[in-house]
Amino acid sequence: MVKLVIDNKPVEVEEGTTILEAARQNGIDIPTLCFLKDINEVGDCRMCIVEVEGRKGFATSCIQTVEEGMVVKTHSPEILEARKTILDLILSNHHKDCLTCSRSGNCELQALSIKFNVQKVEYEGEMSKHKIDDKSPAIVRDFNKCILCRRCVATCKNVQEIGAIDCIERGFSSCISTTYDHSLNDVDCTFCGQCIESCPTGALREKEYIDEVWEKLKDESTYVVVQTAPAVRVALGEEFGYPIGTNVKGKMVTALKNMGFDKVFDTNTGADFTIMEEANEFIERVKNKGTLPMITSCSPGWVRFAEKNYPDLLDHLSTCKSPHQMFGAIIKSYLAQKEGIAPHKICTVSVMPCIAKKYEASREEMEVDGNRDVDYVITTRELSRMIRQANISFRELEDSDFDDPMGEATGAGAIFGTTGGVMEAALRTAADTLEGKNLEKLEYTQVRGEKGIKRAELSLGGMPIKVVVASGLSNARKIMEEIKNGTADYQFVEIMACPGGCVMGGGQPIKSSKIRSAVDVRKLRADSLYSIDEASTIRKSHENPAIQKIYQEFLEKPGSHKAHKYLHTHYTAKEKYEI
Amino acid sequence: MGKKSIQEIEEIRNRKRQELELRVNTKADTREKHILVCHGTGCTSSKSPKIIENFRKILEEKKIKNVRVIQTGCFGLCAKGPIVIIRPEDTFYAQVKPEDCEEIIQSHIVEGKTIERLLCKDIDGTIVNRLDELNFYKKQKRIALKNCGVIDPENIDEYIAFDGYKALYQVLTTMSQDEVIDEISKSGLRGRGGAGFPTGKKWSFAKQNEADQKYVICNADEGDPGAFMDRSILEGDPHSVLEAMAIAGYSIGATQGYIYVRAEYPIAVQRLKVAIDQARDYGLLGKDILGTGFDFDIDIRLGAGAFVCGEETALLESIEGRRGQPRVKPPYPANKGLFGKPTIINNVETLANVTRIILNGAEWYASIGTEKSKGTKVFALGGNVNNVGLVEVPMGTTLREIVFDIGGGIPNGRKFKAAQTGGPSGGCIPAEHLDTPIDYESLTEIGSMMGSGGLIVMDETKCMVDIARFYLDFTVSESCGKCTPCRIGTKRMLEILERMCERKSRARRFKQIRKISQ
Amino acid sequence: MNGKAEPDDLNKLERLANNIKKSAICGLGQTAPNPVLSTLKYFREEYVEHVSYNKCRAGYCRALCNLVINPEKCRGCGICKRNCPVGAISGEVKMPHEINQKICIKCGTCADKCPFHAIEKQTI
Repeated sequence: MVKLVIDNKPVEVEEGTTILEAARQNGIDIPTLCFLKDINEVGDCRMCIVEVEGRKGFATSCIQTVEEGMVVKTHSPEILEARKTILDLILSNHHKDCLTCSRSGNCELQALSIKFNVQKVEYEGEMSKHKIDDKSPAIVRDFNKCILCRRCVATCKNVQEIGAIDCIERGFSSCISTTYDHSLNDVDCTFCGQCIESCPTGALREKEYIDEVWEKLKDESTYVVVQTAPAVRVALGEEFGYPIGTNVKGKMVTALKNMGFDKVFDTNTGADFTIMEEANEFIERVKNKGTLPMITSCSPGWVRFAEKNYPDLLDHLSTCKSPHQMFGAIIKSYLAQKEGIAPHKICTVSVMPCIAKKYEASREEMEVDGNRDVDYVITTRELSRMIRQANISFRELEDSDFDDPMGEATGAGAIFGTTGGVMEAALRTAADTLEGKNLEKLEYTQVRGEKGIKRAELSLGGMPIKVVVASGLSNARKIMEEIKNGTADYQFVEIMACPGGCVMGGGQPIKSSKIRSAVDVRKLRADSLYSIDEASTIRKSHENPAIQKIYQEFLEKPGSHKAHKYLHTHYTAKEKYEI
Repeated sequence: MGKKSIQEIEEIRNRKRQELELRVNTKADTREKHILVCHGTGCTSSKSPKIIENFRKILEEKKIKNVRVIQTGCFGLCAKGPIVIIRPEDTFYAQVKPEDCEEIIQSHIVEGKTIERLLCKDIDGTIVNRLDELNFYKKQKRIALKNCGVIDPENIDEYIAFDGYKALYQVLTTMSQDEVIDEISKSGLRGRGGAGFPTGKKWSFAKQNEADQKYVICNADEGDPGAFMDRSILEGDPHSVLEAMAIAGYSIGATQGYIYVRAEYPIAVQRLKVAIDQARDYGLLGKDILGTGFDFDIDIRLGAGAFVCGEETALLESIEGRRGQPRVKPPYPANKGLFGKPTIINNVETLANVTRIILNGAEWYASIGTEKSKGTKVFALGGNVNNVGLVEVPMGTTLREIVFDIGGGIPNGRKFKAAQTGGPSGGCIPAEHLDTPIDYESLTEIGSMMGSGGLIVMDETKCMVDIARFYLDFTVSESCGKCTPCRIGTKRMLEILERMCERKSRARRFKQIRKISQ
Repeated sequence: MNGKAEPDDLNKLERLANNIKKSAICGLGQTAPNPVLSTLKYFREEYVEHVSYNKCRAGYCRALCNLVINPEKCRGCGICKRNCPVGAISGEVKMPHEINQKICIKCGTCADKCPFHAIEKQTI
């Protein structure tokens, strides 16, 4: 333990603690902008500067570790003036259009300006001007709001190991961009959106489709159907002041109904379809010595990554579409028939924790008989904005349930939203199928948890099966290298592009650096999903009566010709960016 | 050629030293004449290579055998370049043109008659015959520049002749690591790159750290506008840097060195490449140097046009293949440097002093200069001064002496207004401080700094606001962009200064507005 | 100006310079303000002249000096007159020309174009 004094307060912290952490542990909040724990610890912004007695100049508290006997001052008049000047300089090169910015109310720069009571900017001058990049269907890059904290660069380079963005030019002309300043659409960006989650301002955001959805809702002749992913319901509440991970499914459904959607469905049901098809596909591959290991394909960021980086290994991917795509296809065929509505009059909207889903929905393969499976994808954040626009007081809503005929979903579907969830859901069904009976065992805790790569050995129907669960593209890359090198001795792999799975997706409510340093957001949201699973009456996908009915009436059986037509897809190699 | 034993090196040394006696002794017993032509960047751009070529051609045509034409490093008086010096008589011909070569050979070499019109004229009009008669040189003491203008930098034997690689052998065979560091510390040598950190202390920090690999880096990314001290040393005496790096490597326990040199110095890069190849060939770099079991090799790394990469941690990032951006210190490179290993980064001029200190002793070095600033400093004298060029003076020489005695005063009858030291990092020294001794502490006290050695003299036609604007303009375009105060702050300072120089300052606007509203 | 004795640009510059010096990461940023601070220390009057009186005593800053045609060097070629964007120059062919300071915007085009270097800067 190390003893030091911060602002005349004697404190004791573990060795290796930074001054910033030591201060925060003792109730002293040093402001930061570029600091993102374990991801970006570089001392760029200079907001966290403090005085250390006996040392010339200011120390960078987010990097500097404590030393025995250190005497630190975090807000001497000199420091305050320097900090104020730094904030002033950042603001002098920032478009102060908070009123029309999507991050207003949740912007770290705005929060600091309020904290420092900034009333005017002293050092006004030339401002950076850069074209907004909104070419891709998923992400918008607006450098005019960037404060060059490099959190996005660190996330893309060190966490996801993609490196699609970095700093180009130098000095005042520095700009966070891609090689030769191309659109993100044209380089190796996978649209995982982790950079958005790391961005303190509105410089990175999703491509919005709020207006388009309102248009459809306005149009009386269109039958608008919405489905919500499992991860959405355990995060949406955060936008309305609920603690992180609160399950607000009931209010969410009511809000959607109030907004005018004709039907409100649960993507968890779509997930149940995915399990039916995927478990079947897996068993077929094992029996018929098909390409193994088989890898899940419901994460479109991961799929794009695979298509760009491992085009020769695409056979390993399951041909199953992702849950919301499957569900969309069912809606425009089975439901359309049932309700007697022409498919082209149906508009399917998915609310997702993910921005890559926006890209996925636009892929040319994602349609059947000329009908797009999903017409629009909006994120959890966009939904919260729409709820507010509609004057709905979210917290005061009554709970309601998803609509029939497909409103039922199992606990297996619910856990799709967390890393290891797809694997566990698939195992539940695969185990029963291979055993030929209804097994008691439901939970496979070996595949739960925050570790980037989880490996487990199981026995299913007497067969030894090795499975791997990976989240985060850096871990995906490790697994693919094992497969490429021939050292992969496992049969089934679940890969999610976002570290921690969909609950930490690029479309989820953005948590500030301070919250991320102190709270395990992933665990809170994921635990909520496991609670939903535990509370479900039906916890295995193949036991879902709604699913069983649709197979009986429409799809025949998993893997059938019809199932393939609506619920399966194929992949193509995508070119990597070459200089 | 091949690897040489120490005996063979000594043999070369003795033989060559006799042969080259005439380079340093006007009374040398010799039948030869050596025509030394400056081949530094300055004189090269004024066609000195053509002068060398012409001399060689004419000597061949006239079948004159006992005359050698030697390319050398910078003599220092760049204002009078291209410079040709004939040895042993030490005749100094200034502002020579390629067309003059014929006359020089015929008149001086063949007929033994000096050519009056080509002799150098001092500021007061006196014509001088020899280099050391010039006022420019009288107060200088060339230690770091000792070999510049004497030897052919692309000939390792000439370097060996003048005690080259003697210090390295002495260190490897008679001194322990601590003794070397002790000697450097006692000498009082401080970093010549600008900060003036005690060199011995830096080396001792690196030595104390245990590691499987350590590095010695020579910072040759001289970026200050108007500074060419390091360039001249690299062009004129590259081996002194290589030898010093090996000595440094021995003292801290490193086996690998890098010279990070800016790509805009093609002659220096070329000289370094030749020198490294020659040293490797003789076994003075590489494995088991001179049979002592000590391994040390040096590789060159080129800069790519970023002033900020002269900052030591940005330099490390650049060598590691990343964007040239500084790291937050601590940790310091001596503890955690290149690839995370203990690293020392020294300036070219600092290193050039090392062999002299080892050979002549720390006491000798400490006897030069002031109490806290020992030794000499090389300055690149420029601006509104008569004798523009490279000077090396003992620390403690006053600014007045440099500008007026050595520099020859201000041309066109103008008056001294200020001198700028330290380039874009330094400050202006006004006339009232002309008698300030040049040393680290005194300069900092008056608001300037030593810097790397650029010394720009300004007369009354210079606007001081514009001078500040000029340096800030440079800084703004060279800022790496990593931290807010430099990236945006320097830009804002520049904007304010530009407003001042373009009659857009706030005060005036306010006065105008007030006037209109009355 | 709220009765501030110093014009605010000077004040702002000095404060900014001091803050940058203390908070930049590396030597480049930490020393970048030095030329500004040292010239402010020793040549403050020049700054004040620039800021408050729009005067450059060295006769260097073009915008703060008058451009004047030296009648002894002027050959009356008329190049300056033809190139002046605001028609501030008058004169007959082969006679010394003159710049009307009231109209002149100090762009410097005339000085740049004059083949006889007859146009000089004069402090106001």
